[in-house]
Amino acid sequence: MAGEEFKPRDPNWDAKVRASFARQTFMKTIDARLVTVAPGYCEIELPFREDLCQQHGFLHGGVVTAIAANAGGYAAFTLMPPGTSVVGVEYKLNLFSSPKGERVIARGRVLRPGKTLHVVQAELDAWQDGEWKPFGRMLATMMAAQGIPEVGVRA
Amino acid sequence: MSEFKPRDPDWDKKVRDSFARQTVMTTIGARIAALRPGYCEIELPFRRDLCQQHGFLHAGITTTIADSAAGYAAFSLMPSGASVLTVEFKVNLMAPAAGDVFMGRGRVIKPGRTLLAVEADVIARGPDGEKSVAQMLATMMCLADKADAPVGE
Repeated sequence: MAGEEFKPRDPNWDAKVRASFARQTFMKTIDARLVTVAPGYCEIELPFREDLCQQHGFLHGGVVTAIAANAGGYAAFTLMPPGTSVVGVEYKLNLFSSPKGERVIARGRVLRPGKTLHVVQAELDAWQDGEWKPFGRMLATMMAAQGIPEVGVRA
Repeated sequence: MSEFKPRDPDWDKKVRDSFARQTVMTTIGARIAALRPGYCEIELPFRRDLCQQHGFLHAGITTTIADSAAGYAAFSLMPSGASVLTVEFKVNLMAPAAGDVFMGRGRVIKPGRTLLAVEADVIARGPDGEKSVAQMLATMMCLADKADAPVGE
């Protein structure tokens, strides 16, 4: 599994990811939870909520994008040097089916850690009938930004 | 701008009804600001409980209004009795989503029978004017025999 081949450049990688995640008010708003953090890897889980849905009663594509982008972004952030901040540059999401079930999970993995840009992917699975069923996949680019304080600009 | 001819005379109402069923739009405080055949604009005032770690609007929220704007631009051109579904999208995040109000503007590029190519941009409006913060290119699917409203409604 998870990126054990990656060496974090920041000894504080675990704490800084958890602290950054905790500052994301939107994650609190939707009850998303950081499940696993490892070098180059991050899992975020989201329980189904009726107030986060699209017109057919499934979780909105933007909401699952939020946890996929975060799982990918924080997987990248574990490998970024001290003093940098993680910023999403772009992503592509394919949705295979509507996420059914009581909760969904995003598993973010670093594919290639660069100096400035990190290529990551995130798998989206829904817990359905006792197993995780894939319903989406993201490919994304994350940037290690210099000079943006990780702690709240507007906070 | 509206060179498109809707195939459903009920296009305006069906889009607004479908939008009203998207519970997440109510949750985040988004509303339809403009709607024309092949075009949809969704407005969202900034809220502190929808932010990422730097205090800007979360990219997932930016994507949420872009996706719905794109999807409803497409839905406005779909025939009666059909339903809209997002197949895929690509988003470029061009600037931190800082501003007081955000506008997702979706427009149809090519309305196919089954697949519709659409684009959406998100504009942030603040004291210093307007700024483009995100751009989306997406594929929407027309499900011909699936009612847009959940069964029983």
